[in-house]
Amino acid sequence: MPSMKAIKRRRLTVKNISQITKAMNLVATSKLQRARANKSAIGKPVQATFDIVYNTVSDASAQEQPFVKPREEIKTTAYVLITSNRGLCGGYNSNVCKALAKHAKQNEKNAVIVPVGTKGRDFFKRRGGNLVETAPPSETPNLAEAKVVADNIVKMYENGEVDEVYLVYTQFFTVLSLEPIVRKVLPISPDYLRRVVGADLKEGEEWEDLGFFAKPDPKPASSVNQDVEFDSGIAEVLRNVIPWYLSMYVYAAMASSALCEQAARMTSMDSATKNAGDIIEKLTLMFNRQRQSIITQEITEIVSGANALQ
Amino acid sequence: MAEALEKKLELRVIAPTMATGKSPYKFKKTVDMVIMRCTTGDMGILPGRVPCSMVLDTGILRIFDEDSDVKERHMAIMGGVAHVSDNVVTILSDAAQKPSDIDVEKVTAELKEFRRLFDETPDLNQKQIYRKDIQRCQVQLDVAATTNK
Repeated sequence: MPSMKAIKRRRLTVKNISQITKAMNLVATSKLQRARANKSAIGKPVQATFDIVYNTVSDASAQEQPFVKPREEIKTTAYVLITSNRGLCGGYNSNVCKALAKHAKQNEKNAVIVPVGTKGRDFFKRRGGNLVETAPPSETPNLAEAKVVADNIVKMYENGEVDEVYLVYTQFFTVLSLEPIVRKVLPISPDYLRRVVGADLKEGEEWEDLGFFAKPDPKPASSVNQDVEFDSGIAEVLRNVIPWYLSMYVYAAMASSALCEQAARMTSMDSATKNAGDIIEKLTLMFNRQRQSIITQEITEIVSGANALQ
Repeated sequence: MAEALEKKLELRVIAPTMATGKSPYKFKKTVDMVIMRCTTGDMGILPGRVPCSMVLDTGILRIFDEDSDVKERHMAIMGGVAHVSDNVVTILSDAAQKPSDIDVEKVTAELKEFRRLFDETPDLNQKQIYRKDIQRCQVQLDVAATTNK
């Protein structure tokens, strides 16, 4: 049994920690609201960009273009991994890293990891993964940073360093339901993109929810399958549209992941505060028992001493 | 056709910004007409335009709106793509600046420096890069000189 002093010190430590976790919970709750507002604000621009990309890649002449036509031999796969820069958010970072590791193992191709966020970078650095060094992103996602990542990927894809690109991030469903997702972004599948933008959905087909924007209204027949004029040729337009598609995809994934990070931190800090409360209760009980046993022992000693004197 | 002409265009300009927590829409408004600088030349878009996609060059985006206090607005666009569909013009640009965003003194100094470098360098590829920088600075100064601040 530890001494009363030791129990008292431990109880104070746990109390201090619980105050920190409580404060972190409150901060995460406030940041969650901001992240939620940020994510919903970018929904429309992301949707507008995806619509443009769909209108471009759905053209018959686009099927043979480099970013649309799948390569015959897939040697290397790039994974853009979105994690946070900070810890203390439960299993948020490790879940998304494990999802990538599992996918890469099943895929059986050379994997190149483009980490966005230091936690993911450190995870794969420890495991000896093939990493592309990138600058750590700022706390709140922004399009300029996403564009740097996207331009880097486009360059790698064009040079033939990678043959397909996946985006690994966490999708937000509810505060308690966060799911790591691995999605293929290059080469673009026009059919998949059609389901994402909700254009011309066939019977039995469902809208593909990426978690970036609300379900679009059914598009009128006039707006789908319409002939689009390409002023400077489809190849040139596609060459300029693809970096934008990737930038917005990465940006939306960063916003979704930032929201998940705060949700994960909020729930883990909440449970940490509860656990600290339980530990304080147990330590208080232990402390009282110890004190009581000392008092009992002292009384016994006094009584036995008095008896001996008689 | 008459119905289409009565309608207006919705112009959306999306550009990367380092301002966090803000919508990436740099500009979003209902307008009468836009004229943009494409790689194939200037292109004017009116309501009822058939769907089209084009690659933008560095240049001035001219926005016309008869119902607004400012009938003609200018924006500096540094390349990108534009798409027109269902009376919606979406511009995805690497950088889009309103006149109020431009620091005239800084751009003037940059222009002077780029002109000097352009004259001094013998390398033709480097000259090409400086030519683009000079073009960017000139577009910024032209836009800054407009009154719709």
